[in-house]
Amino acid sequence: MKPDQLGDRMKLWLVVALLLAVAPARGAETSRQILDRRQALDDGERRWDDRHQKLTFKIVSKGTTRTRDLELSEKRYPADERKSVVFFSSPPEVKGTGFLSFTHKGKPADQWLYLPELQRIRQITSNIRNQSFVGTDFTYHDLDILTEMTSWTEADAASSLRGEETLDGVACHVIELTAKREDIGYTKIVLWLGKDDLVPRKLEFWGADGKLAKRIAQRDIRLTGKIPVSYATTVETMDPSDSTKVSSSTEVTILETQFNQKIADDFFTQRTLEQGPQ
Amino acid sequence: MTRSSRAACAALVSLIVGTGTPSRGASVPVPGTSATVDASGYIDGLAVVDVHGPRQRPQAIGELSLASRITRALRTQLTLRGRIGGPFEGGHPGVMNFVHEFQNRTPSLEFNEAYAELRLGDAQVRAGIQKFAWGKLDGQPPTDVLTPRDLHDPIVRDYEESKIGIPAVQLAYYLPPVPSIDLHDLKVNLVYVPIAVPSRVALADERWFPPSIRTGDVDVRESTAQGLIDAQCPPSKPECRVLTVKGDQHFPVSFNTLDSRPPLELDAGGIALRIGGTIHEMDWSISHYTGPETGPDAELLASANCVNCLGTVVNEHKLPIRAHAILRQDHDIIHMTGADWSTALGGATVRAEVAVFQNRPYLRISNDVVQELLRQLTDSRNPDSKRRVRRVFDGKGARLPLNELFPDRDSVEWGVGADYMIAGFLPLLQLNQVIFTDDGPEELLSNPETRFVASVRKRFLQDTLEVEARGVYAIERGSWFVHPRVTYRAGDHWRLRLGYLAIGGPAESVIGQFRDNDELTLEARYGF
Repeated sequence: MKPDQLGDRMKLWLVVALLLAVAPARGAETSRQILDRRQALDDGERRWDDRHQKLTFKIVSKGTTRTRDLELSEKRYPADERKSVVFFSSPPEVKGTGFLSFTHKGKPADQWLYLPELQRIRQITSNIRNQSFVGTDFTYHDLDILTEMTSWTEADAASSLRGEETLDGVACHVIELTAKREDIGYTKIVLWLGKDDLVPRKLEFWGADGKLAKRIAQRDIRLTGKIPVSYATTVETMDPSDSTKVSSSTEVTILETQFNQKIADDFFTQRTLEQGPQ
Repeated sequence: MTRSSRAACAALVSLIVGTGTPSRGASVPVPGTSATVDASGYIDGLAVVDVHGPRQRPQAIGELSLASRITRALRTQLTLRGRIGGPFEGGHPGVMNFVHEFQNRTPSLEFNEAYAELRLGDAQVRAGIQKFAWGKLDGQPPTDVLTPRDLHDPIVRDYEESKIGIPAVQLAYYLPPVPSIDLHDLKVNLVYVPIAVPSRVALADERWFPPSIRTGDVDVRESTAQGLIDAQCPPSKPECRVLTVKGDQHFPVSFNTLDSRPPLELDAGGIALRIGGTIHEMDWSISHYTGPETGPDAELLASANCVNCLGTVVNEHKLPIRAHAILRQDHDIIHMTGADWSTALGGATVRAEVAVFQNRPYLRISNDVVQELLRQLTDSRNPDSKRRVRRVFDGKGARLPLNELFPDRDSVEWGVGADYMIAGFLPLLQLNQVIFTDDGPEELLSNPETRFVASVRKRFLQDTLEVEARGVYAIERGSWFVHPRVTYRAGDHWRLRLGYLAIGGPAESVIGQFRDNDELTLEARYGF
């Protein structure tokens, strides 16, 4: 072998070695690959077209505790359209209140509220995205984010893999999502996804001021059919003046959940609000 | 308190206590059946610090609601309401009835709702004592005419809570959607109301009795009083020249209210039809009602007498006429055809409504009616007036031919409003107007009567604290009220509310007549 050929071959091996050194190790994934795998599961074996749940919200704030019991029915339609009906069974002041919502992609939702003391259905403003959902630590916007986050692309939020951590004995990928769309409302969301099941165990929502605004922890993950459901979720709102302190929290407990029950389209109508939970 | 009333109140209290354990909203099964019963309700205490005007004692209201599901198709609803104290004067215990307009019962028991509902596929039949809520505007929607109200506390008490259930049969049918034009939630309601149930109006001594109705003592100018005498005994006759009065005359008038139950006839009831739906996410409905007026309706009756009349005129130059006025419950059949509409525009919700009325009674100012009477009585060319005045002067007494206090008018009532959420504040602006479309006497309402309604609400501390302010301004009359209030929800069951009601404007206006009724209110409610 001539000296020039030897040098070229060594350069080639050097390049290959460098490439191998920076390439992901065998079996390691990028954050985008992990999220895409999660979305594939949600679109595949974990797909649901409709769901019915009974939930309890326990709100703790300034030493007082309040509860909200509600029943939620939701159905998905093509083009990211969703219809949902919520009935409240406690506390007494909201008992019998019904809420009907048609959510559309790219335009405000159509919403109706049935108040039993008025015995009247009222069409209401959908400009409530930043308002608290029935006094809990969720805003209506938070609920939308949690639902649509699974389908985000890099155009919506840039993802990066921060590493791995173990939470409550569960090994998790830690993924940071940096918002690109202004309407997301948070500058970044950090996600702890279980390595085995890709179910979120923890989420952190960071505000424009660089402080932690909210924290969600999901526990008691159980399968309903093939769909993992967190039967116990805690949402904590951090104190704006000291983001290490929790100013209020909401515990969400799912009492009952059913998927793909073929809920009829005509369930999501004002008639259902008037007639109340079946 | 009679034994039966005590028993009724004791039963209500024990029902409330027995079922009022802090419930998480679970239905209770009925042993041996597949039926379930859901109990709920509240106990409410209201204290009014009256800045001016007649007093209002503290009151307690207890409401118990029992909703049962007998089968999937058959359900029942029973709502009992008991009250102690409040704005009633000279009240006596009893059960509120469906036929009288002036009821001051305290303690009282009321069957607010008691109906059975049968669901048969897309059809639904509801029969019994029930309430209706038509219309979309805030406050009192123009098309919401089926259900009368208890007007003993008309502004502080929530509009819907003041409604009185009426016996009725309602058929509802849900029509299939028409997807080609995005028309859905189509529903037809047909209602038959067999008997007229009036609103409950405060009695004469009570805080919320409309001052514009009360005929106080009448002060008559010397010339008018002399005119009454001259119509009987003209000064052209020498013997009549001694009959002269000096100075303005004061005629005392006693005033009472009187119930008069509606006629028990088939055509004294009412029928109503409403068709509504949603098209392109805009809610709409068209409605018609022919039936008894459910708002306040009464006739003013008066009689007068004059004891030792002419002798007093001769000796003292005074006319000692005394009158007695009675506000008697009346019954009119009205016709209403209306429509309402609402939609979301951007982030706002816009609502509009219109109702066309025929033969609807509207209140006049009683003083205007009295002045018309005096003009009529001093008309010497009117033989009927002459005859009546003669009877009065002779000491025999006579009924006085008053014009209607609630004349039937044709009108259009309409309104448009919108609310919009901004930074957690929910402001609402609404314009309402009443326009009389026929010729008639001057009413307490101006023609047109235009009102601006404004309210703003915000919740704090995760919905535990709510601050709300509501106001109405009637442009033509310049009358208004403002009602700010703060509500605090302590835990899941308690609601505390502090409010202030301020009313202003001329006495001869619907709102301004209550300008002496400013008050501070404190309310505590326990819900279960």
